[in-house]
Amino acid sequence: MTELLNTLYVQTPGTSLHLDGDTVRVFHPDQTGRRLLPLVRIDHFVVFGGVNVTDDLILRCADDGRSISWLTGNGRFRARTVGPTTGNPLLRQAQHRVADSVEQRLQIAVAMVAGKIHNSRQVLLRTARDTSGHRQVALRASAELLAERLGLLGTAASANEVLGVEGIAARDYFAAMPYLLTESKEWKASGRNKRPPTDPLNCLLSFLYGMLRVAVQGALEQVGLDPYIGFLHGVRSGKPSLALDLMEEFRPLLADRLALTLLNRRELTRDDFEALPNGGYRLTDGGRKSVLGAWQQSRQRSWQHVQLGREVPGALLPLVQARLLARHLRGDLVAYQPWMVS
Amino acid sequence: MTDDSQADSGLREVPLSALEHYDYCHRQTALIHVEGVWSESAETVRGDLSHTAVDLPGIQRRRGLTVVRSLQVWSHVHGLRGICDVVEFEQGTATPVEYKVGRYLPGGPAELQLAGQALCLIEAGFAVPTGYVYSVAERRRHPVPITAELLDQVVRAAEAVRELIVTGTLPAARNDARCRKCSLREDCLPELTDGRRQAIPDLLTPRPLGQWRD
Ligand code: SF4
Repeated sequence: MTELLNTLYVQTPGTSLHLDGDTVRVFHPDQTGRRLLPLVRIDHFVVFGGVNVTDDLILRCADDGRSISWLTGNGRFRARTVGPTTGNPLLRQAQHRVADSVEQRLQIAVAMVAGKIHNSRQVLLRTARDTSGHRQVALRASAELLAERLGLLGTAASANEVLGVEGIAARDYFAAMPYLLTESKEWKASGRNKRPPTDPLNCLLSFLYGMLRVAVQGALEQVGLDPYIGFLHGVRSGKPSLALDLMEEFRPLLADRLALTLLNRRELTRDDFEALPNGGYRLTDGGRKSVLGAWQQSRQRSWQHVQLGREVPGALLPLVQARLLARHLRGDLVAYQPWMVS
Repeated sequence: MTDDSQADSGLREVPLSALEHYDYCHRQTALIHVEGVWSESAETVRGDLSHTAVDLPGIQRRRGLTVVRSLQVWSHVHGLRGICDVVEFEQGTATPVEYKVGRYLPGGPAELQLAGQALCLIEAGFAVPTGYVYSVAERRRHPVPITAELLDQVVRAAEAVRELIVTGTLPAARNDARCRKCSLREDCLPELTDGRRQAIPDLLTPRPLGQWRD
């Protein structure tokens, strides 16, 4: 019905959120004036460290099926309230059965990684088109390498092997990062590293992946799928495998491309990151604010969805794909098709 | 909403509201009562006013007429359960009134729901010769004779819905004009789930750069 999926991100430490009738009152001691936002216009809350949410607001959101996610300043997921679980035991049962079936699991895992590789190649090819010289050569070569990895997927005999191909392809892709960054001298890019991220690009990617995870896990829960029973990433205690699975196809265009644009267009500067004594990097409060603004804006733009034959706003893509997955698991669709940009 | 309690007779109870959905689209019934999709959206749209005056339980008495709002009814024999917007009792006769936001559709799904309520009220010992569909849009009530035929139709629909719920079947989408007005459309994806074979795209062949803009 309401297909808006408006997420309210609250990141200023010291802010508190209160229930006030059918609105949420946003309060910060240093800011005068009150901000009132109608609850009906908000589907999710995402709050960062140092923000207080009163219990009556939490419970009201739970009643309405509106989720609240808590994240660290770096975008690491900490907790989430969703209210009573959405009631579709048959869908969950189907999900578990497919997770137990080597064949069906393999098919979905292949689709998800194929989607990711396709979309990663698109990022490489697009930048290659707009560039020249050694960078263009390098990017095209990386795209070619990814094309070969796609072929490897066809020979994978288990979801684990698919995950192996994904790992190789991810390494190839991140190796091309220096060529995707036009200001690569300033923004040293050294493959993917995350604990802690040791350069601003990785710091930014970690943060955006955190945002993506919240969106994807929320979509899975909304549709009634169990985020912890995955196909590609399998089942591991405490690991939201299905959320990680479904994130894969979105990472290149919804997160990576945005990170690259922000750095290449100098919408973020060195001052938006702080270097930590342990060699890690994190976003400053101001940097996080800029990134969240850009993220929110990028969620508004629409992307062509070939299978549906229409455009879908970025914010709704995870929900659409979660639904397609649910319909596949329930036997309505013969295959799960990843979202592939075209 | 999908409370799957069993009637005393051991039948799995069918909510009266499901009868109306069933008449509209079998898949819609299954999406709501088997898959548990939605919850609020379709219901709030359809019964917008059920949260206003009609939904407040209440009893009024005037000149031999007792009017009860939001009355729970059930049939053990047929395994039905539901809530009537309004029932008017006069001596041994009960007259259910079903409130609809839109215009009245003769022969439409609301009549089935009304007849389901009638079935429950008959089992409770009342005569139910007539029911009414009150159209909020038109601000008037339309009489619906509760015929044996209509009641038979309810029993058949209830059996069909029970079958869906018990077996967890998900019928193929209709993908016709009704889908355009259906509030479950986004969850149903009728263009893809109407049972026509879907082409599976080749996922392993590299594609050229697409048209997407930044
Ligand atoms: S979209 Fe069409 S097929 Fe699907 S539930 Fe609604 S009416 Fe039925």
